[in-house]
Amino acid sequence: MTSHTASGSRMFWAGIILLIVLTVFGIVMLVTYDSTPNGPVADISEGDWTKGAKGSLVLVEYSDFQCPACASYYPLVKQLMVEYGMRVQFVYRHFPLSQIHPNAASAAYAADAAGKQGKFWSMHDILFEQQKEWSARTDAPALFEQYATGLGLDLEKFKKDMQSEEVKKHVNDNVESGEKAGVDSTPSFYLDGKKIQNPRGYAEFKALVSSALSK
Amino acid sequence: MSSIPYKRTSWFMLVVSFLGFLDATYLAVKYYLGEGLTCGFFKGCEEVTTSVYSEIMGVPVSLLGSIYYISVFFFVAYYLDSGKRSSLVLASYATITGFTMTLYFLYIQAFVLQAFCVYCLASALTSTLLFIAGAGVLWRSKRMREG
Repeated sequence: MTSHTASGSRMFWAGIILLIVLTVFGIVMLVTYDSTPNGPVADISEGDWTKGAKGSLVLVEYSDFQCPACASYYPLVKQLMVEYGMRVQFVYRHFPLSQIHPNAASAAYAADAAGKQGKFWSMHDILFEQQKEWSARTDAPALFEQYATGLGLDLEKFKKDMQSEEVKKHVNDNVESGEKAGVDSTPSFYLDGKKIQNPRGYAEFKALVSSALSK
Repeated sequence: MSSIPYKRTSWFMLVVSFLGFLDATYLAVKYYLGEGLTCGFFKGCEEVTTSVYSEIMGVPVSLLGSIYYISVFFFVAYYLDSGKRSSLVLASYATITGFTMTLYFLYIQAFVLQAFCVYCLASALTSTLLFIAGAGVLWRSKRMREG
């Protein structure tokens, strides 16, 4: 059919090759183009949970305790702070994806309630380490109380704080600030005020941080 | 020769295999170049595309699919250009393999992961359409040889 003429055939194949090349190119562009707004992310405020060196390079994470991806970044961030804790300040902000993670908000409240007794980061660590244990449970809060007891917290105060308006407001404020900064998935990291593409492993993460530090 | 047999079927297979190629390539490119893991609002896609079943010996299934679709595409295109029936027949046999893999991945999604990825379902559709077309070619070709 197309090989009526040799040149007709050549054009057919040229057209096909061109189509394939343009398609693959278009797909690569589509995938690497960052379409979500990039911030700016809200500055550190009094109520933020932070650790590391103050007044230095800031790494903000918007995270969901029930999100498996967030759990996989937890050890990376931890290692990052071991290596760069003297020069980087890490900020954790809540962004529970409640539509797909029914226990996420409750876990966020638990972390903040533990924070009221000075143990935010300990509870944060436990929640990620034990994520598989409590994620699917309908009685997850009971497990959170167990973790609280294990941390030596005052259980009555913990339970009260978990239900408090103040804690709920903090979590909601975090979510709002995340939405303003263009957070649409978790975890979302903002390094030096700008959203970064989630690094695919520790080496990439470390490279991003050390490059930002040398600026 | 101004007209070849199976012309409509061939163009159909050309278009469908190209669509399958688009879909699989998008997933494959995303796998290699896209950003690291996230929990978006669409739980199914992440669960399926990061599951242990999304790779065969370290190669992402999406890349294998991409290669499959573009191969079918080229075999059908070669038939349309040269009229060599063996090329179309080869493409048609290939659709059996593609369809078998589709059934396997549908099974994994439905019963093992219990999560569906919309891009994988789109590929299931193109793969099935290709199989129907390919089977049609093989069937008619067999009848023509016998008749």
